[in-house]
Amino acid sequence: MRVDRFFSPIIIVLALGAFLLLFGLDHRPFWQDEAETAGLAKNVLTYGVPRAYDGVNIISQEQGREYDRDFLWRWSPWLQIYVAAAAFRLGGLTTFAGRLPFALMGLACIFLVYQLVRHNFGDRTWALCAATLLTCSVPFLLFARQCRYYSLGALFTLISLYAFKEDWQSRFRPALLLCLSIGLLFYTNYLLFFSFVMPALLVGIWLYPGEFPLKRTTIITLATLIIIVPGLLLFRIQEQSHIINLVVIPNNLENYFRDLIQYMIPLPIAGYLVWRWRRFFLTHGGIPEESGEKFILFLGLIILGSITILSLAPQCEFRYLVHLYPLCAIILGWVILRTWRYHKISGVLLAFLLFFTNWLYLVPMDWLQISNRPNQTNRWMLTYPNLPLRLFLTELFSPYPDVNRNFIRFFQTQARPGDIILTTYGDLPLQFYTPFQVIGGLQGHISPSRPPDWVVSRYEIRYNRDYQLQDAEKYIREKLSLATDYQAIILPWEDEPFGNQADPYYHRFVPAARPLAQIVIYKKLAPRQNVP
Amino acid sequence: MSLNSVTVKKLLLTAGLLIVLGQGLWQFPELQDYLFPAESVESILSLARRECLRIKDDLRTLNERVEYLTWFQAHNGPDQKISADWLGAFPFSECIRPLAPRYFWHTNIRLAHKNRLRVERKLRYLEALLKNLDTNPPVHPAQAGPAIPAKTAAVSSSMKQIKQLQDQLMDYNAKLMELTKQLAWLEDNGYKK
Repeated sequence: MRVDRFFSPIIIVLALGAFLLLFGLDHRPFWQDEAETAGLAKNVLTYGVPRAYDGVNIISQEQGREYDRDFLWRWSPWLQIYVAAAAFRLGGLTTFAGRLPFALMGLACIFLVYQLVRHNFGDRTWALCAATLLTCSVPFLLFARQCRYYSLGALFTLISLYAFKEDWQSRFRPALLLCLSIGLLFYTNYLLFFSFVMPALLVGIWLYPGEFPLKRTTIITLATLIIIVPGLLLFRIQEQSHIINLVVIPNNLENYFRDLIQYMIPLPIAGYLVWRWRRFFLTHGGIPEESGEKFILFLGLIILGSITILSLAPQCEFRYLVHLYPLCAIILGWVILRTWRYHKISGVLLAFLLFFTNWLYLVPMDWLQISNRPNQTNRWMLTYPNLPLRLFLTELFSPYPDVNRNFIRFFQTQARPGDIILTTYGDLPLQFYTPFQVIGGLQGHISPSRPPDWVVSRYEIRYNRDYQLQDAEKYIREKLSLATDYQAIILPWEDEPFGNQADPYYHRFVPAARPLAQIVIYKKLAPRQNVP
Repeated sequence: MSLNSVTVKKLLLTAGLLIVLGQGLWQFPELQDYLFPAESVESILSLARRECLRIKDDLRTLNERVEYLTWFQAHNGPDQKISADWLGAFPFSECIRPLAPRYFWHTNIRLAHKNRLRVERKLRYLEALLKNLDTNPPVHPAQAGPAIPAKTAAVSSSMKQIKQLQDQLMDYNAKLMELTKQLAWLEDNGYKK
């Protein structure tokens, strides 16, 4: 009996998930965005609050808009920063410690997907199918292995759904859980909060009208508001809202839908679901009676609503959809099971395609010529038909020449104490891993006390929100004479744009066969005399 | 009859999934490299050709938008009627122009910059890609033997195509620089009102 329990399918799925999420967690250093969280977390250990300035370096990717006069971080919510800070306190300032809590939350998401389906619908096969799909989803794994809010957002989204399906109308604990999970989702990332909570509430009232008692709903709404009000004031949401641009909304909407069908719910399955619920969409009648299908419709509409709200934000990034991955896994698990019950062979084929390949996503998109492949993608990326898990494991088992690692190693061995490094991107990983003053990147205005000792002009040119050159690029072009005052050092590695970026459009598992550009570092010809 | 239709549906479903499976297998990178080792260069060239067409389209749109903004600057009087000429090219912008000219101006400047940047990035990427091919000329593994001349017909044809594409990119670059100057002038002279 015990042996059976030990080898129960969900334990095997969780063991697989643990391996995929935790193995070689630090095989590549933090890239720019992760290093932002990690750098702020490092400062929390010193100052108790996330400060953007530690006396040597400034953490900024928005031209200094993220902090106050006293350098207090007021751009994005603090929960992820404190989670990383706690991990650093326990495990030291290491890449592994920074990523570990988020990877564990990814694992918790897998279990919660299983538990949510099994507990509410009593269908163990569906629950297993959904949990396995999430475990095998390489984009989800990539995001959950980052020292960033992604898995935290997915976890709170799932907890809120779990609490919603409990008896929150009359019991205290589920009501508290619902309230806290929604409130904490705000402190994870308020964009996720607004895009998830509003459609979830509206669709919930629409599909489950009898399950929203006025008094309890009002209490929970007020309690959630009380939780989020301090954050509303602290994180300068008003200031950021002015960058909303009506013209970009149609484009954002198109991009998000393309992201959805390219990486989350394949076009044929999305088409099948729309066709299946056509009566509901056309006449607002015909709500499925079967509880499982009704829940699937609920999740589908939440995803649609989330995308609609997300498209209002000026920045359209795939990362804002990551918290919806568990919902997609539940939907796809249901579709696989339904197909299996309809026709066994088709069920097996569909399961194979969804568990092990990305072909059902990309092949139909290629037929319609709507697949999105940015510059610098190659055939060993998720933008092309592949076996994603194989790519993922290839990267884990054969060391990748990470661009940030190469820079870090170079400066750790070549730079001297007190040196100033100017780089056009990748400043934050250098700040985290090296003791030097690192300026440039997307920090905005540059006024170094003396000409930088090292200059890194990255191959990829960076622009600001107004499509103008970043200040670091301008400074190098206008104020420095690289040809006369600096010696160019060409390193044998590729200057790829990001490093360990999780976005499936950009993540590289295998180094490019034909690198476009090599790393070039400029060293000042007349070095400083006095080394402090 | 109904049994038949169910069977047909099942067959269609299986066939559809099998087609995707077959297509996925066919596009598998290792299989493609094994079957067509020389075609990776050809596929890069075809990608470059496709991207060139996109750049051409983007440059045309940018040119049109710059002309539109120039026209607006010259005709921004009190009489704000919708122009049928511009309605076809920029329907949304033309509809909002009489209602909110300042918003129209800033939005179109922004869209023009976005367009410019897209072209700039694509050009930079393609230039590096072609330079890379140019400096590492493609050699088919089967043609590497001593008896066969180093530059085969296939390779020289590829080199010719690379040269053609590079010339094309130079033209696009010149056009982009000209449009960038015009756009900067429009931006500096600003919205008159």
